[in-house]
This record gives sequence, structure tokens and C-alpha cells, in this order.
Amino acid sequence: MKFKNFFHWPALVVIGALLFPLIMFFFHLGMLSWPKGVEWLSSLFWTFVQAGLSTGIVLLLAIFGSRGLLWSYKKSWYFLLEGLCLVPCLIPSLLLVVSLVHITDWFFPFPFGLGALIFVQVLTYTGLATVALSRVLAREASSLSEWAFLHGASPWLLLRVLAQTLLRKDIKTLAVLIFVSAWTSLSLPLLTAGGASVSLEFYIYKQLQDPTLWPQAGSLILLQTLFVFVLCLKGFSGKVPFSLQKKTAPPLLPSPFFILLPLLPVVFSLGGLIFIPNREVIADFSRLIPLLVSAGKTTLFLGFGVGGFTFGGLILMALSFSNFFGRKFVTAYLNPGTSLTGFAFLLIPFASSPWIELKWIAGLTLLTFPFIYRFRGELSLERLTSQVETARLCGAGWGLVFRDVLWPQCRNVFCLCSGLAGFWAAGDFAYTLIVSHGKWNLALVVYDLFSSYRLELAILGSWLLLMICFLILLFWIGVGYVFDKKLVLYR
Amino acid sequence: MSLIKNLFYTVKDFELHVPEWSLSDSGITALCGPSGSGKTTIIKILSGLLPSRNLEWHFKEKNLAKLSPPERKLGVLFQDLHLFPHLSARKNILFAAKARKLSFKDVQAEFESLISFLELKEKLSLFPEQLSGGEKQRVALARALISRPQFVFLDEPFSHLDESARKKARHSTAEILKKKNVPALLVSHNAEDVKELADEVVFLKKGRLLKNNE
Repeated sequence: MKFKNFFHWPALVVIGALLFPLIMFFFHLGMLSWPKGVEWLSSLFWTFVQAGLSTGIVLLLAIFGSRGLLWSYKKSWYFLLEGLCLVPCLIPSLLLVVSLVHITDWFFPFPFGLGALIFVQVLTYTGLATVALSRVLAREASSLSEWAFLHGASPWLLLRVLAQTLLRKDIKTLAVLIFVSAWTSLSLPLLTAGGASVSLEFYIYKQLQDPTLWPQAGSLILLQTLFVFVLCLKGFSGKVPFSLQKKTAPPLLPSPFFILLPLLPVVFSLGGLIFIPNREVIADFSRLIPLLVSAGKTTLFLGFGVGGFTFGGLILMALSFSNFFGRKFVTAYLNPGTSLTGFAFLLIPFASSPWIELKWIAGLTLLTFPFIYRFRGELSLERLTSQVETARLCGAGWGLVFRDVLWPQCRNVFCLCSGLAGFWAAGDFAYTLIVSHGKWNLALVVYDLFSSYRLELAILGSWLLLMICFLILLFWIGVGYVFDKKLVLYR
Repeated sequence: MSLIKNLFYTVKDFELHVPEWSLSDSGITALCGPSGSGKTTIIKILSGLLPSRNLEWHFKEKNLAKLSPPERKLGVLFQDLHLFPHLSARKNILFAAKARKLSFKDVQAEFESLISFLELKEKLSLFPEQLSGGEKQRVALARALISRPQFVFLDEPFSHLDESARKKARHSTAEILKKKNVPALLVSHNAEDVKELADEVVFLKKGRLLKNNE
């Protein structure tokens, strides 16, 4: 690839947008200073502890859990089970915590703090890691497990050997993904840490609330951004462990008992949302209807907007197919950080409608896009590499390659990605809390109800939020379906 | 003869080292060698998919190495064929013409002679997933030839076919290349392929071309 490709405009637009929060913040800041005291060091230490422990526990549970999921490979309801396992990771973290707090409240008050943060992170990522690992096992382990089965090896010995050899790169990729997600999350520490600085992102968030501390926060932002960038660049060396290439359950490994491990988090993440409200709660909730309607409209707008921006971003990445450096950058730049993005957009002076909504949409797109691109968009482009090479050898220019090869085969996946981005964006409260400018979206309303101990009202709000999230997802899936119909005509 | 100079490529523990090579500009030249000797890498470099600094390929008074892959006007038939799964056989073939900005009118005669020679008339509306291995191979061959390439690369083009289909494909490929008078470089492991198709054979071992006495 030629270096001049780096200056290819579609990739530059995406890279420029992703770097915008950093550029905006540092442009405004002018200078940096190293943070005083040791509080930031303690935050850094606890971030390592919570992210490391969460990653370790999730991977351990996922190794066990994948044996359960492999057992279901031959059943017709396998995809349903897999979908269920992904629920805790897919639904907004706010809803998961509301549900969990409601469940624990039946027995004891929810223990906010470091333990709670780790527990919620484990609940969030176990299902995702289990699905990924079971797919990797199905792809890689067939012949070795047949051999182990014939020679009488135990499943644990087989798993140990696989983890050290064939699965090493995939496990590393998965570990980096979970570690980085736990490291950079702002919403989970906001919900579960009870105000303790157990995450560097949360510490930065607190520093940014005082403008005199911005130069110090700037140093920490730079430190965190570089650390995450290098970690992603080095860590994502494995194949993307999420594609189901082969639906075969290797012998020896499947075991129905372990299916409970990824399913238990589903019970915690949705079980607490099931309750029958009494009259008093319904009356209180009905008083909130005007706020809920306006916040619901904003949430819908937000979800569709983020979906649209994500779709545009993915098209730009498809247009940058030849740009190796651009694609590598976006792959490695997994998360610009909620606090940084929030405060960068807060620095933009316009604070009235529709600028607020536009800031929300742009910011949330920047937060969800790298993740969506890394784990779905890039994959759909990558698999077309040989077709693109063939088209180029046939003499096709990049315009024709995009129009006739990439676009017809990627647009459906891009729609799904846009739906997921819209879904997550609609459920966000952490970023919108920073850039709220006094405006409400539904997630902010639920967060406000939750943090003011009106748990039952928060649950009712959660259901409404969940419905809107699904509406956004379904809309984009529908757009993909329409494109598919067009595809038939195109054929 | 076309002259290739400085065909070098290094990746991890593999080194391709071909300082000079006179590649025939007529008939079929077979490039043989064990797996991992660098045969496909040579095709990828010559077609412009892999970079090789200082490469020169003097062919018909032009240095093709200085041109972009589309400008080299090559036809390629890969081992996996790489047909576009979302396009019908007809659109797959005509894609190459479209890529070279040739209208259907420009290539109509060529198209009709190709599909009749390769017995694809009945298959034009089908998609790759609906075609047999031999039919896919013929569609890919037609796509490689429709835009009148000046050189064709055949990278293990029959490897996925069974013996009877292979025999037929071999025959039709040899016939059509002779008919169109297009020079080709064939990469193959199969002795029969080489024996039946090649006018000249070149051996490659561990990234180096062997001389005749080697």
C-alpha cells in the first residue's frame, strides 16, 4: 500500500472526527500539568485491579460456559440461547444495574463500591466472552478434540492445551477487549462505585468538573488515551473471535451443566425489571408522563441520528478500503473516553436546540463507532478483500469497487451496525449527563429516578427505554431488509 | 520475451529472490515448485497486489511494474476463483469489461464467442452458489479473458475440480488461450496440468528460480 493513501479523504474524515475530542480539548486547554497528590495514582491502581480482576473472572467463566454453549450447538434453539447470553452486554448498563439493585434489595441493600463494579462488569461481559469462545472452539478445536477424545484425555486437559496454543491469540484479543471496556467505562463506575475513585475515567470525570484542574485532567487523558491505543494496537492480534464459521461441536467439550454460567447474568440483568406496580407507583409514574414523552422523543431522535452517523462512518470506511493506515488506526482507536468526549463537546459554545441534540448525536457516535467498526464493520470489509483484489485486477477503479462489490455486500451489515449503535446510544446516560445543558433523554430520566432511590419508577422508565431501544434497532434492521429487496433487483 | 528484474520480497522467514527472469510473452509458461516456494507470491507481485521495490517488468516496450494493477491489463484466474457471490454469471463476466470501461456493445462479439466456447449459455442467469465447480471455473476464465488482457495468470486454476472436470477444463483453457493468443503464466502442482498446457516450464524452490541443470 502506498503511503499517500493515508491522505485519502474518507479515512481522514473518520480519523479527524475520532480525534476531534482530543484536539478540541487540548486546543482549549493550551497547557498541561502533572496531577498533584497521590489520589490519581490510587485511581490508576484500582483501575488496574478492577479491570484486571473483571477480565480474569470473565475469561474463566467463559471457558467453563463455552462448554455449555457448545452442548446446544446441535439443538434448533441454539441461536436463541446465544442471543440470550448476549443480552447483558447488549442492553444499556443502566438497565442492568437497575435490575440488579432491585433483585439484591429483596435480600440486602446493594453494596456499592469496588466489589459491585467488578460484579456488574462480570455480569456484563461473561455472556459475550462465552459466545466468542464457543465460536472459536467450534472453529479451531474439532480435530484436536477428536484426537483427545480417542486418546482418553480429560476435557480440562484439552481446554488447557487449547488455551495455551490454538486459542491463545483469540483469548488475548478477548482479554484486551474486556480490559479496555472495563478501563474506559464511565457509566458503570457512576452507577456502582458509590462515588469512590476506583476508575481513572471516573477520576478524570471528577477533575473535569473543576475548570482549574483541567490541565491536570489533560495529562491523565493523554496518558489514558495513549495507553488504550497502544494496548489495542498490540493486543488485537488474534482473529476476530465472533464469526461463526463452522457450527460443529467438537467432541469431549460439550456439557449441559455449564450453560447456567452465561445464563445466570441474564436473570440478573432482566429479572429485577419484572414487577407489578401498585396504584401509588402508577400514579407517580403518570405524573412523569409529560417529561417521559419529551425525553422519549429526544431518545428516538438520538438513536436514529447516531444510527445515521454510524452508517455514514461505515460507508466512509468502505470508501477507505485501500487505506491500510486509516483502517489500522480506526481499529486500534477503540475508545476516545466518555469524559473527554463529553467535555470536548461541552466546550462548543452552542447550547440550544437543535445544537444540543447534534452534540449528543455526534459525541455518542464517536463513542460507539470504533467499537462497532472493530467488531462488525471491519469484519464485513475484511472478508471481501479477495473480491476487491480480483476487481482491481479486472481493472476496476475504487469507485466501481465500492459500488459493485463493497456496497451491495456490506449495506445489510452496516444497517445492523447502525441499529446497534442507535440502540446503545439511546441507552446512554453518562455522556448525556455531561453535555445535558438541562435537556433530558429517557436514560437520564431513569438515572435520575435511580439515583434518587425511586427504584420502582426507574424500572417502569427502564421498560419504556428498552422499548424505544428495540424500536431503533428494528428500524435499522428494516432498512437493511429494504436494501436486501433492492439487492434482489440489482442481481 | 518479457524481462523481469529485481523481483524481491521478504516476509518473516521467507525470502523471494529473483534478480532477473525472462518470461515468455507467448504461449503458456508453467511455474512449478513445492508448497511455500513463492509461486503465488510471484503472481501477486507481478499483478501489483504485493509491493516489490525496484521491480521492473518490461513487456511490449512498457515497464508494467510502474503501472497500477488496473493499468497493467492482466487477467487472473485464482485458485479460489473469487467470483462475486452477489452477481449472476453474466454480470460476473461482464464486470471485467465494465471495469475497463468497455460497453456491452464493445465486447458483445467477444462475450458471445467466449460463452459459446465455454458452454455457459444456459448458466448465465445463475449465481456462483448455483454453479458446479467446473462451471465456476469457466465463468472465472471468461471473466479473465473478456477484457482482452495482455497477459493472464493462472494460479492453480483446476485444483478444486475432480479428475474428469479437470481434464475438460484443462482442454478448454488451453484451447481458448491459443485461440486468443494471450500469453499466460500457469502455477500448478499437478504434473498433468503442466504436461498438457505448458510450452515452457520454470522451477521455483525456496524463493529462487532453478536453472535448467538444477
